[in-house]
Amino acid sequence: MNTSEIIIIGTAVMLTLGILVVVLVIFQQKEVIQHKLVLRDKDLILQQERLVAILQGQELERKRIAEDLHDEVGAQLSVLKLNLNQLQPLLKTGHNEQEQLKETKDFTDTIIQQLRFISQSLHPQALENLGLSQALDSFCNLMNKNKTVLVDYKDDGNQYPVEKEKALNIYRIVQELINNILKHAQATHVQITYNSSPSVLNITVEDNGNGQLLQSLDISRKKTGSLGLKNIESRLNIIGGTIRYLPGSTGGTIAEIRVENYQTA
Amino acid sequence: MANNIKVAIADDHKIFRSGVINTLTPYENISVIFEADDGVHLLQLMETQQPDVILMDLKMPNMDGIEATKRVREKYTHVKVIVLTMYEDDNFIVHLIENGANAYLLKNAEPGEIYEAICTSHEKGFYFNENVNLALLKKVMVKNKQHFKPTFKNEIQFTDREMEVLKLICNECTTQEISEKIFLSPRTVEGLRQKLLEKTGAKNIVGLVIYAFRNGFME
Repeated sequence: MNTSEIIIIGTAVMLTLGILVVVLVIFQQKEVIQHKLVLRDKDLILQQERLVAILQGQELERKRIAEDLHDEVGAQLSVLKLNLNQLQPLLKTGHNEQEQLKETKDFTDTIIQQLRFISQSLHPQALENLGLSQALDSFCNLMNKNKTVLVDYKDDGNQYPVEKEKALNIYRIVQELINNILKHAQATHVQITYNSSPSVLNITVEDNGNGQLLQSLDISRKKTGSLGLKNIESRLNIIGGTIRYLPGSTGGTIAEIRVENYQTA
Repeated sequence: MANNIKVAIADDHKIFRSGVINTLTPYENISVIFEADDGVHLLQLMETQQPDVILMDLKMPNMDGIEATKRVREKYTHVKVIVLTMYEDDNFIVHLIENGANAYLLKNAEPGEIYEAICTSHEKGFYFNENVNLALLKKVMVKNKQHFKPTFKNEIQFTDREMEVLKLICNECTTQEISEKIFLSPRTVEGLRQKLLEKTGAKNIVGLVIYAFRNGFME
């Protein structure tokens, strides 16, 4: 064997070894990345599960408070008013007693009214009994009683049943959108439209405000955005829905919610 | 004044039931014959004795007032149901009226109104206050705007007489009052009333009134 042969064989062996090492390293790295990806996926799932649990816990708590307020305190206030009524024939006349009693009764009514508003905002009873579309309509009625902005509601008359969890999340999203409009948009009129086919549910919320919502949206996406908008995104994430924001025809903003496979299985 | 009206109360709050009973005590033509804790209890008690009028809460354990109203309507057609609830919600009002409630009151209603609702629904078959009228009217207007076609459903044709009676019924007139107004005997009016029910397919006067509103006979 001469030296040149030894050199060639040596080089070949070295090269093979080198390639083998490189291949092994690449392979190893791929494994590591794969492993990391799996971990991240697991983490994401865990995060999602945690979020769902937090939101569910929050809803449960809200429901409990709303029911306690509405059923217990409400019943007691109603009795209070009935009792006040019984005082009427016992009153002496001449020193404003009648007026004072009336004022007290009116005041009780005001408290009851506020109680209704608080408990319905906390937990929409109509959602359980009458379904999403009617609950949204009731929500609009409630807003119209208490706020300066006029909220109109229109549905397509289709009554496809919406899965319970999805319905509650969609309800909260619309509620959040309206809250945002009240806070930022300076709108006087909001139109909510409910459209459904057997496979897709579309809800649009259009305001006639200043369109600031679109800008604040961009800003909040870049920075650590507003809690409300984050809330909307997470809820959509959970139910597998999407939202689009478009400039409205009258200078305001249109929010388009779209949820597929929304019906009760 | 109408003779003795038998009333039952279904509500899961004892304190509220007592309050209502105290409120009704001064009215001599009303006697509360029993109280029930929930819908199941109510139906159970009704197997042995039936009231003329039920004061029905909506939110109750075991069986709520919505379901109980439906059951009562199915089984005891003559018993009147007055919903007495904390829920002030047009959609609940329409839903309950459509399912056979004869009146819808809020729990903080004046005692006088509770009394009036009991007497009126007992005599005329229903008592609609402003809340109910507005809720039904709103529904009608929304329906008209959207997918409702204001034609005569199934080509129902009313005679002039029937239209007249229908309008008077919607204005809460009794058979007696209608017969005085349009100079027909009460028997003829009763016949026209029956005819209206047959033509519209309504089960009772409340259904007929809803039909009239929905189809734009009332403005």
